[in-house]
Amino acid sequence: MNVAVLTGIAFVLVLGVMAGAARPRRVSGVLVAARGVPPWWNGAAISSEFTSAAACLGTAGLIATHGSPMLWYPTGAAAGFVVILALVVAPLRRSGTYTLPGFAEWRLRSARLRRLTTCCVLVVGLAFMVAQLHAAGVVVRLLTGLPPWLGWAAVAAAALAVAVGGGLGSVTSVQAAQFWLKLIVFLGVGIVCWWLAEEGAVAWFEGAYRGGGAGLAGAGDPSLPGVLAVLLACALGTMGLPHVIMRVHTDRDGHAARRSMVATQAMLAAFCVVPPLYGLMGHARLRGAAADEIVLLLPARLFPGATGEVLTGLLAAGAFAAFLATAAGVLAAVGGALSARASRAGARSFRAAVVAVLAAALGLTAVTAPGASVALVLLGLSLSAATFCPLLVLGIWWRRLTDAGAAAGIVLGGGSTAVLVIGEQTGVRMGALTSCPAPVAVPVAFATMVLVSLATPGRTPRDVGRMMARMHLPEHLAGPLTYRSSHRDDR
Amino acid sequence: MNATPGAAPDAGSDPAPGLAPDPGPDPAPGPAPDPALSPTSGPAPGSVRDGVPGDPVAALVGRQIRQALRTVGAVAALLAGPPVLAMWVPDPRAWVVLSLVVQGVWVGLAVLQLRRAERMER
Repeated sequence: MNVAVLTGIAFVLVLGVMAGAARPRRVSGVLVAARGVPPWWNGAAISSEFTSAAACLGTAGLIATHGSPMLWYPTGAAAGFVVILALVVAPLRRSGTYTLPGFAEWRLRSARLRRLTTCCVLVVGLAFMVAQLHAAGVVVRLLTGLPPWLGWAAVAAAALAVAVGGGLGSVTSVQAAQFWLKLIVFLGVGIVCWWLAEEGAVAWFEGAYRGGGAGLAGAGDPSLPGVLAVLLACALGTMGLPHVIMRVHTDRDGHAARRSMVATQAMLAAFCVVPPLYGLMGHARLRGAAADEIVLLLPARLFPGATGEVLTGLLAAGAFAAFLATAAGVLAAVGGALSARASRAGARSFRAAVVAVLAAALGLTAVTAPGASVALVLLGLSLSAATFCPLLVLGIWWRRLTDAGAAAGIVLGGGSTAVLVIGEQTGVRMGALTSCPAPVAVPVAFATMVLVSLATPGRTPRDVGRMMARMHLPEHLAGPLTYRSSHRDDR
Repeated sequence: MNATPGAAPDAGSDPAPGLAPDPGPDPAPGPAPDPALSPTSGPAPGSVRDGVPGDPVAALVGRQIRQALRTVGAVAALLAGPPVLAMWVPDPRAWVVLSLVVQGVWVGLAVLQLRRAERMER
């Protein structure tokens, strides 16, 4: 099996790095996404970064091991993009800020708030990075028998080359190509397995909820309240993912940004067949395996021999495309947010930030044990739902939001998420709804932001009317006062 | 200018509890919030350009947030509805089909929201 798998993995990594590094290295292109990417292309890039290890391997594995309630997870993940389209995308694009800390500082005129949001971006980004690295390690160990750190190193090196070599502009082209690769590989291999497998390859599990143990951040909780809590975290957390937000600014204007979200939605809908497909087959054949391993073990289990090996090699290539896409996207986005926070931003501080984030992610991966990738991704989504979701929604639509209110909301929302997750991990049970922290933390964050803002009316930025006009007036109606190039200090 | 601050706190706090089993008090929790909208989206787009009294930006923001909340309400209903309904349907095939159908509905909902939001800005 080794030859096919290693060939597939190497092919994807080399292709990704070549496509990424072949782009021109203009300084402006490093951070500022190449403007005017067509919506379909950008939509593919967003889908590519979003369909990470969790979507490709983890969800299918959870369906196979935890049964029917997990079927709803992919619908929640895709619902987040409808919410982004409705509430966030066009005003955010028109604001001209392209990182979350940048938005917070511009909208509320507070450098402290920028630092606070930068910390949150870092935590969310690291959760995603560690999930990808662990999954890469699991795949390498499982399929080749080599030590897992080789998988981490391969993904980290390729992501570093893509992010540093080309910046966000080139990441777009790499991502878009990788999405199509992933879609074709996972869908194609899944359908081949489905058709060619003999009787008994598919087990229809019972359609029922039940009580049961939840993993980190409520992942895999098969009870109805647990599933709904996870869906809430997914639907509201997607808007705060740094790599998704950064992509919005690859679009030419607010209209194009909306259209690329619709394109993303259509592509995710095509991809959503993958988890149930593998989940049902895995449920029949591989019930005892770990969640992230099921998809990759399936072809060899169904077809012993050469066919299985080739299919496994293809899946390994697809999986590495997923790890690389998400890792490079998160790396570029978090590095951009961090370096813009430094006083003299530029290509050099961007690269330094990227290296620092990657080192931190590798360190965290080394000291933690590999768990289910879905759990780490869900942790990032829950934190994002409790901090960035209220910041973006209230910042865009409510002119009375103040910096004090936003900071208090982020601290309380993020704090209650941390308390609930740590409490759950240390064995403190606080009821079914707290297995995933979002149903508690999100209302707390919203209420705090509104109440503290109302209590500090003097801190509303003076030119909030101009900001609202800039965010909400469409480009063709906006005057010269509301032009929308990016901020200099964001660069 | 006064319409916005009144409407927005709901805007923020609504989607959060709205995803709990009951879809919340949004105006149109169903998947088809059609008829209410077409009259409000059309009128006087020129007012944004002319700067008529009453702050055109606030008026546009008010219209957009009402449309956005309709969509978010529909998302809340469609996100929480199928998992709850599935409790009474033990056939797993129905669960799989339902979860795939919801994905298709998201695409439709996104296209609808795109069209409406763009029409308001014309």
